[in-house]
Parts: sequence; structure tokens; C-alpha cells
Amino acid sequence: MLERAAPQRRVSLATAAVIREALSSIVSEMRRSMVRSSYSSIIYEGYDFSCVLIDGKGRLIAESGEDHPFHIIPVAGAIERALKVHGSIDPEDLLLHNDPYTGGTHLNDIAVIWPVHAQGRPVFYVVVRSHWGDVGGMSPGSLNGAATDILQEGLRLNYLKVARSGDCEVMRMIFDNVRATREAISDFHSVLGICRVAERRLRDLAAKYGLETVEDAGEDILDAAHRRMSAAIAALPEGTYRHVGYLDGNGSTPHPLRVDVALTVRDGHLEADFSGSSAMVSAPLNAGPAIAPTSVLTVVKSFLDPSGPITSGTLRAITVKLPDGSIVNARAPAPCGGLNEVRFACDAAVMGALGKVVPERMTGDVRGTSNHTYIGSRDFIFYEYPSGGTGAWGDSDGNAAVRAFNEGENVSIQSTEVLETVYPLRILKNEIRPDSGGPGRHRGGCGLVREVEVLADDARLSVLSDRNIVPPAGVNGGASGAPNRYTVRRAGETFLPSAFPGKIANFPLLPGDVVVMESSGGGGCGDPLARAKGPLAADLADGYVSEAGAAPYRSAPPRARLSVDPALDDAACRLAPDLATALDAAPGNLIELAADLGPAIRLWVRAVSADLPAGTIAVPARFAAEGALRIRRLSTFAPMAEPSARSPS
Amino acid sequence: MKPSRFLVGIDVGGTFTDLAVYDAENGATFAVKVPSNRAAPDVAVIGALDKAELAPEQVAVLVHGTTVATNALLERRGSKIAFITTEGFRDVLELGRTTRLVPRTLYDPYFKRSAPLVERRHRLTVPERTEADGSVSLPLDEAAIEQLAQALAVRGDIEAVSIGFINAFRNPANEEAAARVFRRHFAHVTTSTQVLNEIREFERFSAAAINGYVQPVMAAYVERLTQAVKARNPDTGFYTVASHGGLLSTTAVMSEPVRTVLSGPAAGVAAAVHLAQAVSQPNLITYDMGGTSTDVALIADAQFPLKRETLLDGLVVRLPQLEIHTVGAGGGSIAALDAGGSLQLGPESAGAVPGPAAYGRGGTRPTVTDANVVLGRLGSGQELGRSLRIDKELAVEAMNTIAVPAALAAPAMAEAVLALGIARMASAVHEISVARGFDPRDFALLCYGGAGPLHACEVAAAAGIAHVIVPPAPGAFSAFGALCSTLAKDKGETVLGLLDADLLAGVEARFQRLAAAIRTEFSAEGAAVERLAFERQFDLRYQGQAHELTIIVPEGASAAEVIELFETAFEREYGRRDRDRATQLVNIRLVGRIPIETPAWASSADGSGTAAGTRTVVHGGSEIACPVWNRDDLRAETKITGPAIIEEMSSTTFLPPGWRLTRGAIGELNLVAL
Repeated sequence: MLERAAPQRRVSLATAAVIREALSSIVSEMRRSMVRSSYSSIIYEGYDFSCVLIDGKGRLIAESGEDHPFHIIPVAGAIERALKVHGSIDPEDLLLHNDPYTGGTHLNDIAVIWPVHAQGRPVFYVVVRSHWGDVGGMSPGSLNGAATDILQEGLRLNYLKVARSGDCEVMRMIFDNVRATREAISDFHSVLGICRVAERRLRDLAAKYGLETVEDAGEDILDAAHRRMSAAIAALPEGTYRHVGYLDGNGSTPHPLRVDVALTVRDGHLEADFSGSSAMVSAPLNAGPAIAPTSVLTVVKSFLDPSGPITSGTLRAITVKLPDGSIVNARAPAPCGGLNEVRFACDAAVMGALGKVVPERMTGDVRGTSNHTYIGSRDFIFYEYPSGGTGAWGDSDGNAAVRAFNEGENVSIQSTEVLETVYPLRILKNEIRPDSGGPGRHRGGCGLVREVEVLADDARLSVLSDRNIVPPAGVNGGASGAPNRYTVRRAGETFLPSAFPGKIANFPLLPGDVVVMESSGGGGCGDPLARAKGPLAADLADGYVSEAGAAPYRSAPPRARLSVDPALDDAACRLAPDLATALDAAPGNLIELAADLGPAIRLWVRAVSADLPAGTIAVPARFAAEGALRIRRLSTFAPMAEPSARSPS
Repeated sequence: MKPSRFLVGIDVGGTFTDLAVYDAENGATFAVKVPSNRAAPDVAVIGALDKAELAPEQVAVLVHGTTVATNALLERRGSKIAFITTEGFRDVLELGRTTRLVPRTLYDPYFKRSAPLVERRHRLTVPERTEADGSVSLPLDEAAIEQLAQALAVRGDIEAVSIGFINAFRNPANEEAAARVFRRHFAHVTTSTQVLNEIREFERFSAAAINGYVQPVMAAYVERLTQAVKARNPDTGFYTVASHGGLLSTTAVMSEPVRTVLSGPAAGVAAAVHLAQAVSQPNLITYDMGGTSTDVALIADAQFPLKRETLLDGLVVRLPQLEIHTVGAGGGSIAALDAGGSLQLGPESAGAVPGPAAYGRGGTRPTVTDANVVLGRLGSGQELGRSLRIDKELAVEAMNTIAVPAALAAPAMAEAVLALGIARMASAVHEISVARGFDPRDFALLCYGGAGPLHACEVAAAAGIAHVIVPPAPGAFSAFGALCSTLAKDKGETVLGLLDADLLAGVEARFQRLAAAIRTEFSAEGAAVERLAFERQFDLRYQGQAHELTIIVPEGASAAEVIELFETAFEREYGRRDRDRATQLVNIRLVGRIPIETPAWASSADGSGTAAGTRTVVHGGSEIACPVWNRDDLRAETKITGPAIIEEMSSTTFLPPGWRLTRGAIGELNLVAL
């Protein structure tokens, strides 16, 4: 051999590369089979599933690059947790898992974990996690904004042992307790077929190269992924960087809910500490312990090394600390249907923290919610989750309503023609939402506006959407995008169908009602006044920005002087009367302080205080280092005095 | 001497324009290569014709595959168009499915959607509405349309108008009424139902927009070229290869240029279908390795592999086309070590400029081609296409930029690079064969393009294929392929109903209408309609599924027979049948074909029967002495056992140890694993 193996390698560079290629080819084949053979639109159009391979030691070793981050990253810890339940997993069994508290996402996402044994031990696990149309619970589709307890969201499956054939009493019980049973059975058997094919290919691979070589190559692949991520982290200046991301909450929770993160960079390692995040709530705005790590890896990888792999090796470079019993590490029975809402708030927090280290690389924030929208009756369920505009960055405007960097390639709205053929609905409008992109030197992408006319006489509207109050933030002086908004138009009059925006449960619709779905715009980047004349004129000609919407590009908001008030809690501020007048802001309102470099600061007005000097805002101690910042009012929504009394029913 | 003697095929590629001539008098073929002319592709076509030195009166047919429409689209150099649509639906073209439509963009915060073909200011809405049942709830105000058309025409900068109305697939009346008005003011007007008469507005509108976008460019190009050809000889038939592998008349190209946006790789697959018949090897997997990517396609039973949709740089092209799978590894793909020390290949490519380091045009990063040079598969000093000379030292130098940090010698790294490239191409072969229910052992790998034959045996071995075919003149195979097809037109309609006898009866009447329409169009183009033959295609699925399978259905088939055909295909693809589910007929499509004169493959002359020399090749870590043959020196009875290298003007074949080569009846090389 001419080749001299480098000391840190167990197999040759070529062997590791070829086996990595083979593993990724297996995952690609699994993905393709899922899409082509599924009966559930959420799989074949929504692509709401993921396939991965795990090695015999329970480490994530291959994914396709197209799988949802929030599906696959949690898999990295699944086997360890499963072994805590079972001690060992038999070759004739498979495991089902969806339990958020032990590493799942929400109950609709069920993972099939398929062990592959050789030489008397597990050498691989094939995992397919897919979104089931229904897993039981209080409402069709299982996900709903009104849940106060996880049992209302469906069946919990905590590494449930099931016979590999799929024909057993446990499965019979599961299928008897979900809606859309026929699709569930068909799709489940498709998944088992896909796992069998993947197993055969893994066995072929082991036969071709020898099991030990394949396993050694796996170790090399993990080590290389770790080195690659470490190198990207090591390029950052060492230190601790903190930021807070917010959720709207709902009528029964505090407003806002917060995700607090402190990123510490040291020795090529990243620690993310989420201490200070809100305590878990009796609303579906909690997440299990797998979600915040997903967010950290997604954001760090995206901004530091987007083409890098995702394996357990990548994760070695990152440690995540989660406060027990918080919205990022919830305990039973906190409902977790809105895990994605929490994940996006984590993303916002991590992006903000990273924005303090490498502001020039950052983009404005994205939609920040799933926008689960159901219009249904006894006879049909229409389900969409409209995408929003994406954030601008230093080189470019954001994109109009499209899947963002932290989301898989889901088709979030349906074809008008298909939909009008299938449902008693008519689409009146499917257009870009003007003025929704966050103003900036580079503008955030616009959201979309969709008007759905209801023809049925017994339809109801349910929505689980966040960021209807707290909009996607701008960066480096850019302004926020417009928040998501759900209204109903009846006889020419437009109104909010719920007391708390974005959280709508079973609102009765009349024939002729028009449901208006407006998705958020992306955050802007850079000072709007610095936007070049050409792009602004083009935006006006194209109607992405209206004449009225061009105001932020023509006059600057006031600059506020910051004065520290240690008595204020982390999200609160007080305004001098002249600032309050200039902003038309009142207690309870959300304001934003835009730094010229780095993330925007969001604060809720606690009081308008005559004792503050003109042009001054009193802020919590953690902003002591900030100078004078541009200030904007974002929302006039004020949390209600007794929110629980007005929660949607 | 017959007055019409030559059939000429031309493949206009990004770098070279290849021309293949078939001499009907003696069955001989020869090829000519000239540099492509990006700004004026027709000039290169005429230049290639000049270089071939054919007497114009002896040229019977000239067929060309072109990337003019493709490039206009990819480089956004098309026309300024207006898109007229239903009020409320101005942004269907930009919003699409709200997906990125570009692979490997998850985790890319700087992903930028490619610009829409029609600027928003030129997307204009009109009050009109057709309902899902085909009824018109809001008739078109033709006076208002006339005003709009006049206003647009007066501006003077709009070159084409495309029209897409919601639910027009159910009733195109409003679209057609609007088109009649716009045609009074514009030369290029497209309706969505004219190019794609199927449900799903985004896909249909996209087809209409692409058509308008490339129409002025493509129409002017093909018209110029047709005139130049006809000026030489008015009797020469001139055709263009469409995305589905069939041929289009110039009239058809001018009205539906969108049909040519995937013309480039289609000709090679058309040639492969032709060759499948000629060598009695009906099951082929094609393997066309280019500079930045490799195309593979599966031909079962000598049938065109059909597909309905492709993503092209963020655009959806849903029109009949060939199922060609592209993988991002070609001769110019750059090998690199990532920050973790792993070997990566692509997606970066050295492209045509600077090209691989060995080309000596300033490339310094190692490519797949450089790996072949380092290992001796491509000989130092060897000429490629008469314009490039290979420099091994430059290749080694480039390879060392990654070999040294990995503590490897350059040849070891070169073998690693090839191993990774071969694994990736074998995965692509797996994906179109095993993953779709085909057994690769039933197939031969047909490799063409300049670089394919260098690794074909190893790709075949990794994919479980024991037989490799290298056709005559592999470098000009696509140009030759342009000659191997038939004139073709297709027309479709959406049915959306459960398949039963009643539905089939209704479908029969639709087919008759479509047949009449195809016949009329062919007649108007002066084609030989007496030779017109039809093929019926059904897009079928189980009720509840979204993805249809396209099935060729014989005329007069009963519902039970159609369902059996569908379920057989479904079972092969998915390994099961779902008998308790009803079968839904989504679309019907009628394909009309008229044959033109095509070449017959002929045997080639015997050469000297001896190798030209030897050179050292590194294989499996060892240096081996490898005989080097000129392909022209092979004889009918020649048997070569690997290792060996077979060189010809446009290509190099590497026969690894453990493989044997013989020459077949039409001069093709058969490489068989021992």
C-alpha cells in the first residue's frame, strides 16, 4: 500500500468517505420511499418525516441533509434513554416513541426504532420519525391550542416494545385509539417496509467491507464531524453571550414567555445554558429536553458551518444545560403540542446571542411559529401552516413566504385548484402581504395573505400560532417584520376570532365567512434609512412596500437614552412621557430598541414615568453597556388583568 | 449517389457543439467538434456544418439538441414578459409551494430564491373567475382586457404575454378569450392550458411563464437557424429535440419552446433507446459523465423512461420529460478536505474555466479528472478533443494540496477521490434501479460522454452490474442521438375520477378530440401524418395518494386491464399492492409520433489488432503496466483482459483487472466482469 494511515484514523480516508456515502445513500432511499408510498398528505406533500441511522452505541451517524432538524437531532439521545427503560432491545422487536419528556417532539411525531443485530448485539438502529395525522386526544388532528394537559394531545408512547411484524395487540390498541386509522395502518406498514430495506442494505454494507471496518469508519466519521464543528466554534472569540427569545403565550399563561440563553465559547466547545427560561405552562407551549439542543445545533451549524454534517460527533462540540420544569425542559403533564413555537423562540434566543459575537453574519429573524391552521367539520379537515418571510442579511433582502433555514421543505399551503376540488372552500386570495417585511438596509421577506371562503355550514376554525404579538426581530438596526395575524371577515366586517391572538379553538364559522391568514414578514437588516434608492423604488413599483409602508425608510424613529433601573425585571422598561407620546406607547405595550450592530432588544412597558428625563428609557441592569438606541413600538397588545378568565374555550 | 445522403445530428453543449454525420450510402458515421458560441449558438451550429464539409444538397435531415432555452432560463436572460392572472392570485408564481425548491438549502440562512421570471409589477390581475366545476362565475370583461393589452403594448418593452387563470383546466374559455385579445397586440402569447392542461395552478402557470420567458429568444434563434439551413438546401428537414426525447418542428418550437428546456440530456437517452434495439440489449442504464455532473437513466424494455416534473434552479418544470437522474459529481468536481479532515467531493466544480488543473488553464484545485491523470488512466501529453493537452505535473501538484495535509501520497489520494466519486455514482444507479424495483443484474451500463468510460467498470461493479457497453464515438453520442428519435407531440387533460367502465367511455371521446388536435397540428406543419401513430398514457394512483404513476395503456383496454397494468407497475415500484383501494385516473395524455429517417448502426472496420504501447497506471495501490490501445486498432476477434486502456479522439476507456473487452457487432465495446 502506498497509503499511510494518519494516526487518528481507524480506516483509510477513502474507506471512511465511501462508507459515509453509502450510509447517506441508504437514508436517501428511505426518504424517497416514504414520500412515494405514503397515504398521508402531511408525508407526501408536507414531507413531515425524517429518516436516520444510528450506530450500535446509540449515536446518530447518518441523515440525508433534508431531514427536519427537530426530528433527527433528538434521535441522538434516544437509544440511551430506551435502554434505561428496557435494559436491552431484542432483535425481534422494534420500539415506538413519541414522548416529549424522554426525547420526543410532540405526540404526533412517532419514531419507529428498528434495531439491526449482528454477532449477538445491536450494530445499527434504523429510525423513521413521521407525523401521524392523528394520535388521539381531544380534537381531530390531536394538536390543539386549548390543551392544558398532555393527555388531551393523544397517546404517549415511551419506547414501547412492539413485534417487528407490526401485527400485535399493542398496535391494535393504538389504531383503535387514533382517528384516520386506515391511513395510519397503511403508513405504519410502509415504514416497516422501509426499515426492512434499510436493514438489508446495512447488512450488505457490513458483508462487503466487514462489520468491524464499517464500525471503525463510523468512529472516524463521528470524530471528523466533531473536529469540524469544533473548528467552526474555535473561530469565535471566547466569552459568554446572552439573549432572550420570546413567545406570545396564550390567555392562560404569562405574557410573554421567555427563552433565555447564555452561550459560552471556550476551547472549541460551546455551552448553552437556558437557565432563566419561563417555568412550564398549562398550555401547549412547552418542549421536552431534546428541543433546545436541536435549536442550538441548528443555529450554530447554519451560521457557522451550513454544509457540515449532523451526527452525534457534531453534538460532542456542544453542551446544553436546561432548567428542570421549564418550557424548554417540561415535565408531565405539561402539553407539548407547540414544541415548534418553543423551538423557534430558542432559535431567536440563540441567533440573538450569536449576533453579539458575529453580528455581520446574522440575518433577521423568521416566522417563529408553525401557524397550524385547521378548518374542519364532521366531513373534512383542511390543514395548512403558511410560511412566512425570511430574514434579511448584510448582502440581501429576505425571501417572500418560504420555508426558512431552520425548517424542512414542507409544502405549507395547498394548490387552490386541488383544494377547491376536494373541500367546501374557495380561495379568494393567495398573495404576498405588502409591508410585512421588516424594514432595513436590506428588507425582510414579505409574508403571505390567504383568504379562505367557507362554503360549509358547520365548519370551525382552530389555530395554534405564535408571534402574533412578538414579531420576528430585525438585526443590526433593521426593524421587525409584521407579526402573524388571523382574522375572520363576516359580512364585510373583519374581527379577531379569539380574545388572545393566534390561539383559536373551535371558533364556529358561518357559510360565507372568510378566514384571513396573514403570515409574518422576516426581520430587516441594517438601518432602513440606509436602503439604496434603487431597491426602495423597485419595492414600491412591485408593491412589496406601499407608499404608507415606506415611512420607516424616510424618517428615523427617535433615539432613546438608556438609564439602568435595577428594580426592573428582565423584560420590563419604563418610558419618559415624551418618548411614550412620540411612540404612542402605553403600559403593557411591546417596544423594541434597535442596536446598530447586533440583535434588537424587546421590552414591555411597565410604566410611563414622569421622573425620567426627556428621551430616556429605564431598562434592566443587563443592558447597562448599551448606548442610545433607536426605539420603536411593536405592539399595542396589553396582557389582560386576569388572563385565565378569558382564555379561549 | 442518392441526392439525400447525410443525416446530421447536432448537440449544442455549454462548451462544445458536437456534430455527428451518418452517411446513409455506406452506413459510416463521423463526428466534428467546434467550440460553442454562447452569444450566438446558431453560428457554432453553422460553423460545425461548414467544418463537416457536406454538400448541402445531400443533407436529408438535420436534428439538433440545444440548451438555448435552458441557458436563457438558468441565466435569466429571457425576455421581459407580463403575466395576466385571476384577481387575488397575483403571486402564485412567486409563492409557489412556499418551498425552496433547491436541494441542500436547509441550514442555509443566506438562501436566496432565484428571481421570479416575471417581476411583480408585470404580474397583472383581471376580474374573472372559473369555479372548480368549470362554471364561469365571473365572465371576462373583454373591453377591459383590450384596454390592458393596449396599455401594455404602448409601453413597448413587454416582449411576451402569458396568461394563467384559476381553474382554467376545467374550462379554458376565459383564458382563450383573453389570449385572443392579447394576440392582436403581441406576437408571443401563451395560455397556461395551451402548454399544460392539468390541475394545479402553480405548476401550470409556471409552464406558461417559462414558455413566454424563453419564447422570443428561442423563436428568434430557431428561426435564424432554420433559415440558414433552408438557404443551403430547402429540402433539408430541420428538427429540434424536445425534453421528452421526441423531435419538434420549428413551428412547434416557436409556439411551445418550454418543451425544449430539458433538451440537452434527452438526445443521449433517445440514442440509448435506439442502441438498445440495435444490440438486442433492451435493458440499459445510461451513464453520462460530464464536467460538473453525471446523468443516469434507466431504460427498461427499450422504452423511454418517463417523468413529469423537474426542479430547475428553483423553478418547477412539469411537462413530459425523460426520467434522468443527475448527481453532482463530474470530471471537474473539486475534491477537498473539510475542517474535520474528511474527504469531500463537490459541489464545487472547476467547470470549463479554469477546468481541471491538468488542463493547464490556471486550475489549482484537484478534480476527478486530475485524479485520473495522477493515476495514469489519462496519459500525460494526451490530447483531448484536439484543443487540450494533459499535464501530469500540474495534476500531481494540485492533488498534493490535499494529499500532504492528510499524510498521503498523491496517487493514494487520487484513488480515494475516485473511490468517493464512484461510490456516489453507484448510489445514483442504485437509486434509479434497485430503489424502483429493478435488479441491476438485468441491465447493462451504457456509458458515454468523454469521462464516463474511465470509471464505468468500477461504477458497474459497485452497483451490481456485470456488463458495460461503450458505444461507437461515445463523445459524440448525444449528437448522434438527436437522429434517433421521432417527431412527437403530446396533449393531456385532467380527468380526476375513479377508474371504471363509465369513466373509460368518457375518456375515449377525449382521446378522439386530442388525436384530432394533434393530427391538425402535424398537418399544418407539413409532417407525414399518414405515418402518425398514437400512444395513450394514464397518470394513475390509488385514491388517497398524491403521486401518480404514468402507465402506457393500449387502445381498447378495459378498466380491469388498466388497473392490472397500474398495480403491476405499483408493485414493482413499492413492493406491494393495495387492492382494497380504488384506482384514480388523474390525467390522460395522448402522444402522437411520426418517424423520420433514422440511421442504422453499422459494423466498423477492423484495425491492426495490436496495442499501441503501454503506460504505468496506479490501481489498488500498486503500479501496473497497462497496454494502451487505439480504438481503431481493435478487430472483431480481439479479446482484451484488463488492465487496458482504450483511447479514441473524444474519450478514454479504462478496463480494470478482472474485466474482459470484446468488440460487438456495431463496433460497440462490451466490457464484461470475469
